Amino acid sequence: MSKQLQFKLVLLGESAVGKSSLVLRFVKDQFDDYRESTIGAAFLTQTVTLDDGTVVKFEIWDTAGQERYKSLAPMYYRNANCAVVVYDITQSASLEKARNWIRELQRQADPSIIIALCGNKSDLAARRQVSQEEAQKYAEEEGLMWAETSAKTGEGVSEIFTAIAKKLPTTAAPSSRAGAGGRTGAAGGRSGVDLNRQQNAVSTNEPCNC
Amino acid sequence: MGSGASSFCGKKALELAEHNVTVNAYAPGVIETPMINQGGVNGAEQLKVILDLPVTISDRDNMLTDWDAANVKVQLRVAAQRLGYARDRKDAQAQVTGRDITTLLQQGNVGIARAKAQKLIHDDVMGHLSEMLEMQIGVLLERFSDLDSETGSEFPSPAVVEAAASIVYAAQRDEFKGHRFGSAFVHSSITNRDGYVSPQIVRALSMPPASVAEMNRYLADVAKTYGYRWRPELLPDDILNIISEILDGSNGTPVDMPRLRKVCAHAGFDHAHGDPLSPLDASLEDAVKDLFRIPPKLFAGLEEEPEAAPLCPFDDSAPDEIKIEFACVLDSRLLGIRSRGAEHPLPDIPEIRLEDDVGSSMPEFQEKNGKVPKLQTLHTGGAHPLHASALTRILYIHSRLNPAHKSPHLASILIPLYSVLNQEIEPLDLAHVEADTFWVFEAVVSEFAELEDDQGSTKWMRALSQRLQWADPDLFEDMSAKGLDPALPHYSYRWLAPILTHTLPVQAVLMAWDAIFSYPMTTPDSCPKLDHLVDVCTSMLILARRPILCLGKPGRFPQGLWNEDNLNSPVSPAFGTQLDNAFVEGMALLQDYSVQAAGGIESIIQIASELAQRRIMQVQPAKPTTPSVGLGSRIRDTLGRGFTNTAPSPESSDEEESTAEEESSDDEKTPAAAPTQQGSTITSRLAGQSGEASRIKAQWTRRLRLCPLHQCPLYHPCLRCRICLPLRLR
Repeated sequence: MSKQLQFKLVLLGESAVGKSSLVLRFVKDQFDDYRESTIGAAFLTQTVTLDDGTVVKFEIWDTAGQERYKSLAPMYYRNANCAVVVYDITQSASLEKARNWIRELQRQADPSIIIALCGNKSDLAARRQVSQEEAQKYAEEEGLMWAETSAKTGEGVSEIFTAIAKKLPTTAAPSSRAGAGGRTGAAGGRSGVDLNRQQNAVSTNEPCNC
Repeated sequence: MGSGASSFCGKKALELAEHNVTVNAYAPGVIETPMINQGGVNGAEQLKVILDLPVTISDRDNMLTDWDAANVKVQLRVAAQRLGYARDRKDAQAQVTGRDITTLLQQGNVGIARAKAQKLIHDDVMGHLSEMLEMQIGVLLERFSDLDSETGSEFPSPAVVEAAASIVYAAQRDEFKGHRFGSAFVHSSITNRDGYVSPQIVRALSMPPASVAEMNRYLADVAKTYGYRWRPELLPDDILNIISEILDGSNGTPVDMPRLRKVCAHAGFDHAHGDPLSPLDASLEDAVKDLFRIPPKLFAGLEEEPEAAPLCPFDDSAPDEIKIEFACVLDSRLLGIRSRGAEHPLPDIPEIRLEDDVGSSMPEFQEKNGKVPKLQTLHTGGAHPLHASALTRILYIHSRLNPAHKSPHLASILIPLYSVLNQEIEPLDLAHVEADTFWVFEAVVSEFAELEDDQGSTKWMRALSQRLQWADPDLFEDMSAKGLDPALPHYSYRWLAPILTHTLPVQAVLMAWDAIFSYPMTTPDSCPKLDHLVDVCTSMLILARRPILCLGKPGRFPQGLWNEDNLNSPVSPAFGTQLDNAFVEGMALLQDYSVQAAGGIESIIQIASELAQRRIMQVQPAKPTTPSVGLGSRIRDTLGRGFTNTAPSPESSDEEESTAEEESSDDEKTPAAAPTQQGSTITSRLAGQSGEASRIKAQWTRRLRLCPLHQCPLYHPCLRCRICLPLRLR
């Protein structure tokens, strides 16, 4: 029987860079030019099947990018196994924000968290302000995964999520949170205030290769 | 004549004869000074040596001095050599400085590190420059014969001209000025008037000082080279925030000068990211950005063009004496801002001004474009441009009046108010609908302001959790076990913060608002309206009891959680535990709350009002056991209750209240009896004291031996059914 794994993924990034659109494309393969802004955070799930038959289920927290909601973010990234930090290739300021998020993740999140830097809106390459080289260089320096995506055309979207799924520890027991006791009490795990539980969020069998 | 070099300069000499005069005017006597300065070459500074070169190169034509080819050659060689030496020395020095900078950063002495880095950057540039100059000197030496009037060809090669011009140009850029204005060529080169100077050298010499971000990156790089990871303590954004906080005069405190100075010492801002918007533009963009990102359903009823209202000063048909010509200037400006960076930017961006005399700038714009551009090219969620324009104005004025109040939910609250007033206002008042909306909006926003800060929203989410625990402990326990406690912001934040506008359909929102707004005004220690909003949310959870209790149990509701099949894809039982699935399903259920499946908005409001009454009824008998309530407040409470039972309290007749009533389309659906203000004060205090409420409740239940849901003497048979049905099912 193929392995089935479940991971928590959090999306971070400046407002209006296309986090919700990216998730919508990944989860429902849809795109809408008019996107209402997220309030607080939205929750969705999607599964990815890897080449070896492993099924990875992502529980996705799509956080709101506006400054107002910044204080809510720690609750969502604290127990996350992976984070996708999104910037808009046509807004160089959004990469700066992404850097801030990555710094915060490196400081505050689980040390084994897998971080992917994602330059969205690659269909608008004509108005590009962030060069591929710049972002890639930064990602290499910080040991992040990096890709450019377009939620509008769907380019690169499933690829980046699949790449994350491949990078996640695959030796964890099937059908469980990576790591024993990942969620014995759902309430505690979700509240994000239980500091003791942070340690076992990810299996220690395979160290993260960030 | 006949010599290349002299003809080259001779041509210049003709036209530049008058320039010599000019040069003389700037530096009288300079020309007469003997130009060859043998002493110059032994100068220590790297670029000082080449000062003498331009003089020697050019002066021969003017016959001010003798052309001594051998001497010039020697000077060139010496100069090149010295440039090399100086560069080597600087390189060695740079290593030491780099280590110094790292140490300083480690010690936290960023100011001095920055100063040192500035010098280091300058040295880097100079080092690069001296390399280029050395190369140019090489060119000159190689083609020295070109310079020699005896042996040179008719015209010196462009390479030689460039080399000579570059050296002259670089030399005058150095700190040492004077005694070198020997010729027109020098003059031309100094100003690079004829463009002979090598562009690389021009660029190197006109390099702007490093921006803060560049400087920070540079410091981090230097530190990294020496094995220390350094990060700037304040990023430009932080600095901006701190400075605006210090300079915010609204709280009446004087500006903290020492702190301001300290923050400013972290230097200015990075302008690398294109042209920043001007502050007014930025505030406009900021104020309205949420308007175009709210759920389109809220724009229902605003798609049609509004009726012409000649009395409205914003209307096109208004008579000239009241018409505000520049009513659409915000739209045009916004359109202009949005088209920045687009392929076809608008030709003209009108200015925003708050003064009256701006009208004159508009006609021009109108003529150019035929008509004032509206917001129709922007996504307005389907609202007619004239409505969008009115909404933009309201939001912008609100943001100018309340610069600190930046809530992303403003637009979601404004639009229902605006559309209700548009639809239900007396035809005579239609002209003033925008102004009326503005004032209602201001009142509503101030009533619910507490939801906008972090502490406030946390407090009210916790209040919702406690209210649920109090109203239906079993449901609360079930939800907590599934990770769906409303104290967590997963769905409750989205319910509360935009006052249900993102959760309920518009008609339901309006009815819920009717109920909520009928409660008294906020006082320093109570928010009856917010309290009732919590009642409504609790009631929504109670009505979703059945699906919530069934979460995570596959197979029980094959058609979907709300008994509709449009919701979540079925969860495979292979994944996770039952609680995991329950959470996933529960989030889908509560993020997509179905009013219809819950029994309609009427049921929600009825149960909410029943909960509100129970809250108040419970407080009464519990009072003697509540130590926090003093005698004074008890008397006040009793008296207040007596008054409100006979006549409406004075608070309920204020402007805000009456407006809420105006909007109300179904008055019979508002709660039968609004609680007294004092009553809910105590309730909210109780709600704030966890444990206290449940203790009182237990006592109360024991005394009456009643099911907690039936203890209320005012209960209604149909309510009993609604609440008890799921209980019995269980």
